[in-house]
Amino acid sequence: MSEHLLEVKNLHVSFRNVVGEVKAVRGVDFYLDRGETLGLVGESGCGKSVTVQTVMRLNPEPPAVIKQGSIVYDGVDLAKLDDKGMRKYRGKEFSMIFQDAMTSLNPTTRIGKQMKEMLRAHRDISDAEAKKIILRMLTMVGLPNPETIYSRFPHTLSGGQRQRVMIAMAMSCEPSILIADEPTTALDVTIQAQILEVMNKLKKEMNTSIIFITHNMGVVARMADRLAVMYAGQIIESGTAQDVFYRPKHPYTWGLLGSMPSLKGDVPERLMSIPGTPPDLFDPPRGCGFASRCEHCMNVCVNRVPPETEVAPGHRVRCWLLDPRCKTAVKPPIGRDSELIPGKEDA
Amino acid sequence: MQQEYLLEVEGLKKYFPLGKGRTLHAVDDVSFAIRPGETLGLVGESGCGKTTVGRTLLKLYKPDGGRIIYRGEDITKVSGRRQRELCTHMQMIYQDPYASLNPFMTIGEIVSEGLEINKIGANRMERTAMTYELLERVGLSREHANRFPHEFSGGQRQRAGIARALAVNPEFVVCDEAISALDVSVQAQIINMLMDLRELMNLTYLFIAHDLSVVRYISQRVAVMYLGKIVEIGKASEVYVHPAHPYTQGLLGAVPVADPDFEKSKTYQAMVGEVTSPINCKPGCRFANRCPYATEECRTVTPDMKAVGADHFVACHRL
Repeated sequence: MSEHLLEVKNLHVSFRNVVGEVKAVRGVDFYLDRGETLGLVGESGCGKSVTVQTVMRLNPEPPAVIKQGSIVYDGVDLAKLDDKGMRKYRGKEFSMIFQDAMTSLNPTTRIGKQMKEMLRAHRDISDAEAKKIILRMLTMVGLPNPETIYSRFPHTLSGGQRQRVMIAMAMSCEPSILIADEPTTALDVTIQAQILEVMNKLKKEMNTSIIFITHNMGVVARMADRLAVMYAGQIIESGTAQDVFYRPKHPYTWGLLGSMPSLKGDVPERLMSIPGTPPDLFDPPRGCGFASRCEHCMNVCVNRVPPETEVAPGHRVRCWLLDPRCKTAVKPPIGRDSELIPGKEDA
Repeated sequence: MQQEYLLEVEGLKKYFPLGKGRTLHAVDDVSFAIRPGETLGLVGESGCGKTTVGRTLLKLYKPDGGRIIYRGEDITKVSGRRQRELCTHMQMIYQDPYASLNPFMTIGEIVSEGLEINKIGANRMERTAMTYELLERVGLSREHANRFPHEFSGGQRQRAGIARALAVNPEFVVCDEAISALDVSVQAQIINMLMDLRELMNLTYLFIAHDLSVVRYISQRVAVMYLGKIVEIGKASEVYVHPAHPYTQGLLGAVPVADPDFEKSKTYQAMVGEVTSPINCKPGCRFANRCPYATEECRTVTPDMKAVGADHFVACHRL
């Protein structure tokens, strides 16, 4: 039905409680093709984790509610499946690795046993076969002496080793989509570099697609083929990594890129910073979510949600500055070609 | 060229006994000096002892060896009233803005506590006025003084923590991962503010962080730590452009840069192995087991600091 491996359309997710409703995801569209890595970036609370957890249907419902939208995988709308129906996909077709590998592993069970448990739940194989697969996976993620790791408890491993075990576990059913939710945030840079390497290697060998969530623009530059920037429950800019890094169009993306000090290039006088804090999604703003922090904010921004504009094939931006009726030209302060936004007269 | 240092540290040691004859060598023979108005960045991976250095400097831990010299005075052994006086000169900004503010105290109380203890300001009214001024200086408003920490976002709490540290008008501030818990856009706000305050209040920072790009941005000089020892120290421009120690080289190579073409074309030489344990360390270079150039000498003899350029020192046998 759809040409993409996974296609999420107009997804709205809310969390209901006694006082009201937190509109965590407010109309998210994205797709994922086979063998590619999609980076999902944004600050804490922007809805990136909720989005992927909804794809996996990991949020308990209630309090979570999928208000509208579809999640189409392999011709099936996952948003309409019940828990039992999802079981066929979770772990087998999609698997997920989390930021904190310690809390994701069962502390009372040996590594081998927990991996076997998951493997045999999805595949009809014997105990010995399972062990063979597990040892192969542990070797693939670069753990020395997999035999010892197999019979050890999670707390005896280091953070980097635990994250490798998580990856081995997630990949052992050969899923077509691996969702990585800030997998390296808790790790040191040298270990992070090793883990990213392992993920790239496995992706190539097993032809897996990855959704990689992070707030680190450096990590996403290393990993992602395409990029989606989220803010206040919406994807405000998406495109190839080159589009977003070199030709960013949304003021929030400028701010995000400009506020990161870099190891490359000259040391700037001052970092660009975005004033204020993200909006409260209990009562999301009527117009653009970023309006209250945007220095280019116009009247229309406060009142109406900006439509999606395709500035180049596949490069979509939600910003009123790109509307042909907008007369103000704004020079992007960041990016490779700091050109004027096309079609605009100088104000 | 004899230059006056604000703070000198010579051979600082801090060991934590673990029982059963085991000792954790958190800081092992660390020496450095900071000039007035300068920012020294202290970087390294978790567990390398950078926080322990900061805490020992402020005497939150009792040093097990070495000397701390502040404005020419050996403060390693001082206690009592002089120690309390020193607290008004040296302050700390903590990493976790959620854990470092007392949840039962209002922001105003938290900020003015140091003023009261040190009897700064003639009376309560004057102290309140000073508190308001401090809050405004760090980008909060006086209305915030009556609120409790839980009512604030992470960035605002960190601002309150900074106001508390600056209340006693210190000269020297240890920023211990002061921005690591914050989101990027808020991080930039706080970094810019710390830099403004440095100008405004003539502060000297020891900036402890694991994020190398942030340290490059804020520091004039950088010290790289590995397992309780400083392996390289020098001008930031020098260390980042010509890293001399294999560990510094590996560390810098491991940081991903926000440039997709560059990142994807880069041949990745991930550093092998993981940090070894700092318990009961043997002599020799502590990086030897991960170092691609390690020789027999590295495994047996502890390398000394050697000058490789102007104001650039490295502890490595290869040089």
